[in-house]
Amino acid sequence: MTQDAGGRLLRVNLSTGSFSQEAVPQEVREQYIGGKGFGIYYLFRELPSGVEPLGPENKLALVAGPLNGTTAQSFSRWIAMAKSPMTGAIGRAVGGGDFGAWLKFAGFDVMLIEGRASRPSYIYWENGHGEVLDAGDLWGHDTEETQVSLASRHGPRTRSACIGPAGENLVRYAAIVCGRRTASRCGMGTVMGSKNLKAVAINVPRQVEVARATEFSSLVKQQIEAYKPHPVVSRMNKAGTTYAALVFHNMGLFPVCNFQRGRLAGIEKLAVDEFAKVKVGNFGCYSCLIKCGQMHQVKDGAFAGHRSEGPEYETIWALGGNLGITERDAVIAADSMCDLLGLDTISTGLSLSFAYELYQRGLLKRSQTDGEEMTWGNHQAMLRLVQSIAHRKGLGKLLGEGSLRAARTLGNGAEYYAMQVKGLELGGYEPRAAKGQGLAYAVSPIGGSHSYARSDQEIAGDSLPRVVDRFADEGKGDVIAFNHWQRSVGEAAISCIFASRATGRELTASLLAAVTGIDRLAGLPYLEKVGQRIATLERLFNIRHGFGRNDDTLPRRMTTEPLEDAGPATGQVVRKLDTLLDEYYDAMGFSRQGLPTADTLRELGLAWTAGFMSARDNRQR
Amino acid sequence: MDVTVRVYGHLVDLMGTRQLTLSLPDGSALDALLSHVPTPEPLGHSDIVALHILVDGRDHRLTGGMQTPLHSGAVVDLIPPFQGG
Ligand code: SF4
Repeated sequence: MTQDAGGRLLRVNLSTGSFSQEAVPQEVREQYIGGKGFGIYYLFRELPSGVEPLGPENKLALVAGPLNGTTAQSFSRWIAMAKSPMTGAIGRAVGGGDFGAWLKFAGFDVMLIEGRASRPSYIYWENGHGEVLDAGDLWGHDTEETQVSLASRHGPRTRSACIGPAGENLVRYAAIVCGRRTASRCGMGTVMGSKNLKAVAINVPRQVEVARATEFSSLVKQQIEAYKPHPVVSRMNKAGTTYAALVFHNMGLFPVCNFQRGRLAGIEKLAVDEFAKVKVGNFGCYSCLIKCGQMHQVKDGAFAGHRSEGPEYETIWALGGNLGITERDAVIAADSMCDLLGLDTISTGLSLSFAYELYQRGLLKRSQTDGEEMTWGNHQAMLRLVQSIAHRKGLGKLLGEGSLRAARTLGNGAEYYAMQVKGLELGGYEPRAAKGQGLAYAVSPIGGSHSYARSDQEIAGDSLPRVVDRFADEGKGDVIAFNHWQRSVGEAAISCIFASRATGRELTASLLAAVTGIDRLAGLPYLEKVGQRIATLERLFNIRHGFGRNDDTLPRRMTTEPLEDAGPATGQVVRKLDTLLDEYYDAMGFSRQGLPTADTLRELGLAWTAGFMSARDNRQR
Repeated sequence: MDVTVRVYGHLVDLMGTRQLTLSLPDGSALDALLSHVPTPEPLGHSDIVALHILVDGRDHRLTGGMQTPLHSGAVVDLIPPFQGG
């Protein structure tokens, strides 16, 4: 049976406790698909410049994709978006587990949360009815205790996304957690905390609408067949992203000691086979055969009993090698702690490595570190400081602001050692060893994201649109623009980045068309335009909130210090960031100031945005 | 000449090691090295096409493909497809 599937928004006002529903207009569904597309569409329209990220006027969008909750594989992740308290720009974090599917089962593509509750609260949705309930007894609880309490209170059919103590204490990089999966980046958990919102709990039966059900199930069969022999599927199931540490280290891509060099003595202690020794099982998001999550449990020694669904590569790096730490079990313990406390492991690790480097250089004295000896490799100090950050105690109070704000508070040249873009800390890919990745960091609308337009041509050997020399100083702006569009489509469909190669672009397009009944979504050129539209609208959001070309930059270390001791990447430095920016802007249809041109806006159906921009921005176009 | 080969993923299981040194005649190219990699079955075309192959850290498709010249002390990485975090 063909039916209209999807496209509903639930608006929750925490100040008044009111709930209202709206249909997402058909043209918005066609032009933005869902997921990040819907998120940016609503936030662009509803958040004027000047909105304080931690004020009640900020809005938090929790969004699902059109394939969430269906039998299609690896499409049930979800996204949180708001104005970011880390950057003041658009924020987005991608989460896993079950929550996206449950949001969809409740009948919604978007939950838009407004206002601020007068006391700790949670949103509860059951069978067509919502309430804002008291969360006084949950406040202070970790993310696991909170989810268990909500399930026992409302029944085992309940799934929730919640914050931990870090979000309550307004650590700027707090995460939202579902199961042990986190929507980590940009402080989306902090926005929840600022709204006195501990959790969103949904208790509904499993049901989703599919526009063309017969066609859809045959496409899902095709997808599952394609998964069976695919090497990424079996590899991700076997070891998740733990494979990556040694590969990236040997490529010179693995930043060590706050990006000071690229070689880590003892890296083999963080290699895939070491994690395999303590693997106790697999974990997956809803409707995903890959089950890439690696459950690790420390069996003996000082960290015996610590159990973590991870760590992923980024955490192995951020809380391991980035701090000169090669103690596997300490990294597992730190990962577990961050998930329970509700912290972004990347920003936590880089706020710490920033402080470790200041300590190395005598810019931070022992009298300022709560007595900690912040020497590289000191994992005990790291673990204590993770707790201090989450509870905003001692040095953790400062580091909980993120490396850029902490540097500005400290002064004395500290900002040079903050490895961030626009205020968000970088991921675990050394930009000097992959200069397209450097550009991707610089232009990412959310700041130093490793995944926004990741340069997989340089990092993983992808050949679309073409092979790229990672050490070349220029000639790759168009490739990063291509990646930006592709990932924007991926995050509108919310296809898992780990699985997107196994599914393939064509099959993803066909699944989107079949689930929504919107035929145009089956066309790859059409989807590429959707990706360009979403990426451009994010750019416009940031321009509206005061960002421009000067913010598209890298930490000065990347453009001035040749990379040390990094195998084949030794001696590399980002020499031509300005040239790369020009190339990227040209490919995106932006002016050299980084403003989307009037022609670009017309071509993408974004001319309406002029009414939301300042006269100055419109004049400069 | 001696060339270092580093492998990852299932290739470690196949070869029983992460790294080995191969002695090749002077002037050998990448294709000669790949035919000497000690796997139980010789690597087929489809196995090789799926690999991300780096010669001294550079993508081999930019350095001459299978004809990329090797030198004594060269390091070749054979990386099966995988995803970073
Ligand atoms: S591949 Fe992993 S992260 Fe992606 S949907 Fe599956 S279980 Fe979740």
